Amino acid sequence: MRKDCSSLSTLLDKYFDGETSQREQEAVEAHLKQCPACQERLKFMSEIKGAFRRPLLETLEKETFPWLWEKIEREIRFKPRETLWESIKGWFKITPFLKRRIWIPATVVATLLILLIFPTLFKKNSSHLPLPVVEYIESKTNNVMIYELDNGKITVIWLFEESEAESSPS
Amino acid sequence: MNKRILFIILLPILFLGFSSQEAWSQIPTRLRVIEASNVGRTIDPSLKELHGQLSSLFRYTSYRLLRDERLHLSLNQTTTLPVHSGRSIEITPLKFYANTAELRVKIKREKTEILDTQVRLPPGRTVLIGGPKHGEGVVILAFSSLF
Amino acid sequence: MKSEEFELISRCQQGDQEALKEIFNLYHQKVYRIAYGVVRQREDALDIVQEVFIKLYRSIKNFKGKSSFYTYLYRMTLNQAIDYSRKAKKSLFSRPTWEKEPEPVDEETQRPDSQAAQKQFEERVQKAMEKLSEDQRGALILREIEGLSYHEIAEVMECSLGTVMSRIHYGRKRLRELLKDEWKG
Repeated sequence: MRKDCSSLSTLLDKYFDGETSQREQEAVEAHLKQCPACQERLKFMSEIKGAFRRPLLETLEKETFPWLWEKIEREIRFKPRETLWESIKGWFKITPFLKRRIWIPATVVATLLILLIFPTLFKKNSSHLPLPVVEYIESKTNNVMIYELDNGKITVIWLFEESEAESSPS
Repeated sequence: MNKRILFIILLPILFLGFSSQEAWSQIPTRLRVIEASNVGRTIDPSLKELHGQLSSLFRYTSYRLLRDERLHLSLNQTTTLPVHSGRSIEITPLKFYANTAELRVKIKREKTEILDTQVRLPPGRTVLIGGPKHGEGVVILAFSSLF
Repeated sequence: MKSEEFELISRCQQGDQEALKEIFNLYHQKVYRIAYGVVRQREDALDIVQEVFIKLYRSIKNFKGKSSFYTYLYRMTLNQAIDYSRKAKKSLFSRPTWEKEPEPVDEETQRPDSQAAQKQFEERVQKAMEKLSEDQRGALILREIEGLSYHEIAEVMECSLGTVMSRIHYGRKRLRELLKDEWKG
């Protein structure tokens, strides 16, 4: 692999996906002409794509989607869409318990307990929040990449220096 | 409907609403400025754990701690710190909600803004911002929650 | 949004099941492709298609037309499929059982261009895909299977263009590492 391959590494993906600008395309093609390693890499990307798509296309060809619409239709007829008012009413259907006076103090105690343990519960779960860590990102001077480490505790934001793409992660 | 029942239903909703705001006056965080390079094989003892976690991503052999700050950030107030060779970091906490801090982070080189980002920082999470050249290697800013 | 599609969605929002059927006819194959891309099992993928359209019917009133309808539907499908694989613990990270044992390979079939070698490679690619993060796999599924542009993927996954590029780049990089025995580059 040539020294300048790493600087073209992201561009090669863009080129493979047809997302390059005219100038980027020319740069990649000029590099490819003299770099057998990148040619090989591009070919391998294509082989992987084929191997990923083929089984799906084969199964799709045979697929008849048996009674799928009928099942969906049955399901939505059986459980028609709830309006907001209906869902609120549904909520109140469980409240007959509350009519019994004994449940009133019990509910108050349970509510207070929940309020007391709520912050602790939330603290434990919040590290698994599905929300993305990086909500917004912009750099007018550098290309930026975001990488989440597998352990789910570290997010890496990498700024590519213009002439120094080799300093990128791994 | 019985007013008492309505009260009991609304009470927890109101309480949960208030408690989830959890308005902290200060948000404890840690900022480490690290120089990563391939010169030598020195790994600062305090960075060993981080180095282990980063080994799959970075190929640097040396990690040197340049600066380690514990910051107590206040909501909507910008804290500016010089990080290295003319660069500075500006951190502004925008929200603290459900035990997660939402922060606006800007990195500037002299007066030029090179990064503007908004990140969510839940407990135990570290956000690394790396890439700018520093000496023989690069500088990495490790920004972690301490709550 | 096309006017016919807009009309279909409006009808569906008013509870018209015939309109949902038309949407189903237009999109069920696309939904299946994404679902299959995630769970890689026919029955699971069919279950997901069913769940997606039921969920769509129940939640379509929340669709305000801020994004294209297909990105809304793809997002719903991807989330549903990932949830499904998590819940059923049949996530691609930990699914050893359903895959067929590789068939015995005789000398003839050992030629690299033979069908058996191709099947084996497909299985290896599949196993390597299982090792990617959900985000990387999601982005690659939308790209390689559905052929969405980076911009469309960003809309479906509700993230920035840079994040999409990163997910695709590092996803492929990881695949190459995992399949390096097959790659002489």
